[in-house]
Amino acid sequence: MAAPIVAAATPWGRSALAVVRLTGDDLAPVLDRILRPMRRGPLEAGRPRRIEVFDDDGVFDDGVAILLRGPHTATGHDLCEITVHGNPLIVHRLVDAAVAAGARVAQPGEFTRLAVLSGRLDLLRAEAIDQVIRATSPGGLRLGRLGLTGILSERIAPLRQGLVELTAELEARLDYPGDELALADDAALLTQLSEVAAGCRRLASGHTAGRVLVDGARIALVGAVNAGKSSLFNRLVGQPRALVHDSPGTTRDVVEARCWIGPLQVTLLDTAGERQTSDPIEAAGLALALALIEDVDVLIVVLRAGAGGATRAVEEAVLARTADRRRVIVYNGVDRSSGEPPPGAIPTSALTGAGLQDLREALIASLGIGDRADALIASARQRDLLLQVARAAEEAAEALPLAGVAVAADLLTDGIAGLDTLTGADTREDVLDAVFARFCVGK
Amino acid sequence: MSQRYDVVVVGGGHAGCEAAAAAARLGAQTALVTLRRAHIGRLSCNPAIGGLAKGHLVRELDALGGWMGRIADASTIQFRRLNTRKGLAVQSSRAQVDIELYPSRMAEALAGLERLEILEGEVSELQVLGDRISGVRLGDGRILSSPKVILTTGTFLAAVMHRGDARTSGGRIGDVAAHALARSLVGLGLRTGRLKTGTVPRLARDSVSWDRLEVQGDTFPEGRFSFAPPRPRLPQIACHLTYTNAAVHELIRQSLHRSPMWTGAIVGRGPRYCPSIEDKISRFPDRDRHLLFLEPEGLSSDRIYVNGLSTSLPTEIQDRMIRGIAGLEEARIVQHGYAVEYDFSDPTQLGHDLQHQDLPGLFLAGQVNGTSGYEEAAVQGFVAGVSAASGEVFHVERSRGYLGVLIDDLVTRGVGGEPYRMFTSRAEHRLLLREDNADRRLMPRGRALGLIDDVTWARFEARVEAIERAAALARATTITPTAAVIRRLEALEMGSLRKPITAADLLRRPQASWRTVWQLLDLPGFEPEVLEQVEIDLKYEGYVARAAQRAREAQRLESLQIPDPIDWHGLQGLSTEVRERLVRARPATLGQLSRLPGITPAAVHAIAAWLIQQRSTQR
Repeated sequence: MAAPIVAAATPWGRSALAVVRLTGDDLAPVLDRILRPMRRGPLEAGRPRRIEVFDDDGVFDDGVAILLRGPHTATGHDLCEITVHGNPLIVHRLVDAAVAAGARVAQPGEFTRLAVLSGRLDLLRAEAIDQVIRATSPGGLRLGRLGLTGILSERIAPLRQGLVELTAELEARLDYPGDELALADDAALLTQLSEVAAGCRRLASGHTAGRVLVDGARIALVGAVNAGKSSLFNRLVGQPRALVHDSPGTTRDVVEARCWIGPLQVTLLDTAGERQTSDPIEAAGLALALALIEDVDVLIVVLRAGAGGATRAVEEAVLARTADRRRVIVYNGVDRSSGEPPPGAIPTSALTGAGLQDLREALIASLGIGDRADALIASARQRDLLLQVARAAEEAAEALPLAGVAVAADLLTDGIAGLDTLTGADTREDVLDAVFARFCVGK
Repeated sequence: MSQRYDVVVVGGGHAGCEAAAAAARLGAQTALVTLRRAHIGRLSCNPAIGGLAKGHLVRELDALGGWMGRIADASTIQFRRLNTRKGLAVQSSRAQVDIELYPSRMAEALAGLERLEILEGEVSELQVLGDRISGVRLGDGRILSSPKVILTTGTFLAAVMHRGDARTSGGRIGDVAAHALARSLVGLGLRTGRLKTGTVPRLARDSVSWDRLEVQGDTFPEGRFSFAPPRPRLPQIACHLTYTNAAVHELIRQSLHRSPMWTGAIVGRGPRYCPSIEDKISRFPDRDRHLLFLEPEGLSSDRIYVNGLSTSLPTEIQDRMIRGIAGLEEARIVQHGYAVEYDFSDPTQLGHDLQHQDLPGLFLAGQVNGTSGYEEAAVQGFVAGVSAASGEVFHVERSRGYLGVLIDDLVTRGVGGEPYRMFTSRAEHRLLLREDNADRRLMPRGRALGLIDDVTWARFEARVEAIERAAALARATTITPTAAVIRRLEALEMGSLRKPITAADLLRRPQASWRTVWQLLDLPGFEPEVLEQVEIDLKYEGYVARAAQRAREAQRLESLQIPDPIDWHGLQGLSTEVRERLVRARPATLGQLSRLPGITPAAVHAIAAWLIQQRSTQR
């Protein structure tokens, strides 16, 4: 039995209406102690009713309630949605009343978890619902909606089918060695294995794009002191948030602001510029910046136009250190210098705004969200499982000529199990069925 | 008139023999009732024991103290190792046996058991007292009282043989069917279903043009199933190969309407893995020939078994078919192929001891449970015999043996519409379950039962000790990369050497074998079987460790017990179908539950959460 749980389904704050939801296997004892229909007769399943809500101190609001009977509800259990006026005082009192009547306050995500456990929702769709709620950009919303249509399952199906057929081929070699005529050659198997692995890796590689569409991106400006990072920051944010001054080392703390870059919500970080310094505060600021930029999605490496000597050396060090990161290099200050930007760098001027549009486009492109087809996953769980399956296929390809068919088949079985964990599928007889469909097998 | 026994075994096939032998050897006063004493231990279909995955079963059974392996060894006229090129871990043994000698040696062995009585007669009814079994009644009115009855009736329950449109009652040529017993089982509420199987034509040996046929190669004369000390071998024979052809296929196609399976006369579903020639030709129209093996039924037998040509076509079509095949133009059929349709009892009604869950004391083993094959039958007979005699469930984990996989599949998943045959692909831990290590996996269990004699046990202990010694030697021996060593390594295609490594490291290389490594380093001698074990252990170390890890994870699911009885209706969100399956299957652990057909991982999670919640609320 699922004990009744209760939670506010709308955010804390004042609004016209607010919704409180309860779910569980026997809601009647709770509902009887917190609400009553305004006309005679009990609450009927599936029909909205005008109700009053009350506690020991009496009626405190009126609204509408609808009761749905499990298992055909969003959670798979009985579900009641109570709409009251949108005042936190009312919502709070209603939840308290439900708790006093025997319900428990739901943990975050518990309604969706119940839906998955009762088989009402597969894992991929549950994750998609979460994405729809969390999405910070139109692209993220689109991705969540796509997830609800089951598109990921569709993309995974052919990969899984490929693995099932490969496994069938290997199993047939083990269980029916007499039937050599129908067997594929090893080269063809290895090609198919690498195709499956590549397919998994391709889907997994969309993870960054998917994640930034849903959760937004974190982008940091880095570079030598006095390169104009704070000026660029203010330009991108659209208002003077960071202190700008000609004297090098003005920025010490990391400054953070939200802004939009094209369709993407971005958290932009301005960091202390780098130089050899004896000032302990400035050095501490630099260390903090280095730690913070570890987990940003893109770096904007700002080079100062016309810089020379010591600054160039610092810039070279920054470029070398960030070589394996996703980054966009800008050559800032072209308004006051006639220097030649290095190849690949975008010439910008924080003063005139020149090149800023190019910078925005380069940032979007670097995250891969221009190529919509591949951005289908936004959860680390999905990415990790896909990579695990890709590795299983690659290891099987390695094992086939060396350790033998049984080991390779074992690895592929792991791969299929990985995809099934991803989608929640269950078709364990598939391999044998595929064997029987393709092979004329004798005793 | 009533006689009392501790265990009564009904049927003298491969399940019945192992069940009776195990029960009697464990001290139970045992009766084996068979329709015909002379037919004990017969090989009704092909004259062979073992084969892929089946060889594993025979070796496991031998390690536990069963008899099939040693009796097969004593009757072997050709021995082969299959899958030798697919990696050491998946090799299987298959023996051609003398079809007369095998049953007579089995009958002799049974006759030597002090506590076993063999009775001839037809069991017509199960006797029930209260809610448990109390014995059996024979057709002549005799009653055998016993708290434990093991049914091993094979294909004999309500059996019908088909050939063309001719139908005969009976489970095998020359034997009658058990109709009364079939009715008795249905009367007791056992769920039964219908299956079919078939067999091939047998030819007169002197009518085959042997000189025009290809000899089957790749024999392995020194091979044996049993871990017991080897005994002298019978003279060895050769098998021959031939193929069907387009003209024969056309004849079969033209005659399909006269095959009972195609006309719908047989309702039971046949095995997909052992299809009739009719099946092969209609399912694979592109194939212009199918391989056939001509297997002598024995040293002195004048019959030849045509492996690959199972059919139930009318006799005149079979005659024309045979004469259309290369080398068989003059061949005479001495027994035509036929199909058998029979009742089986749904094995999901049984527990892991193969005891019926609603009728305590009744055990079912072998083909009656919907399996196919002598080997599958024999291991079931053994499990039922040991469990019945000891009163305890003899349970082998899936990660410990193919027989554990077999029993668990049967009682949790059932046979799924066609006779169940063992495959290596059914064993999820198959890298751990090799033929070569069956003794190391299971012989301690056989010894604990008391079914392994002192000589065999001493041999086993010496072998284990030698394997450990040889492995330690391989780990301790270092090879230094001198010019001479490198030259020899490269000549043997075992790669090069840059720094010193151990012999164990070298053995792990795919191209290295114990022979080459031992020779190269001039290491002291061990038995070939011992060094083979060392090589397999080292080569598969990584994979085996991973497989063992998986087995341990699976074991966690197995250890989550499901209370019995349990009210599944308390669990919301399950479909009615799934709920009914749970009620019927009565899984004892979450692991068993997770293997039931139609149970999704999401359902397993939901049930796990619910069970844990149930347990905590009860506390």
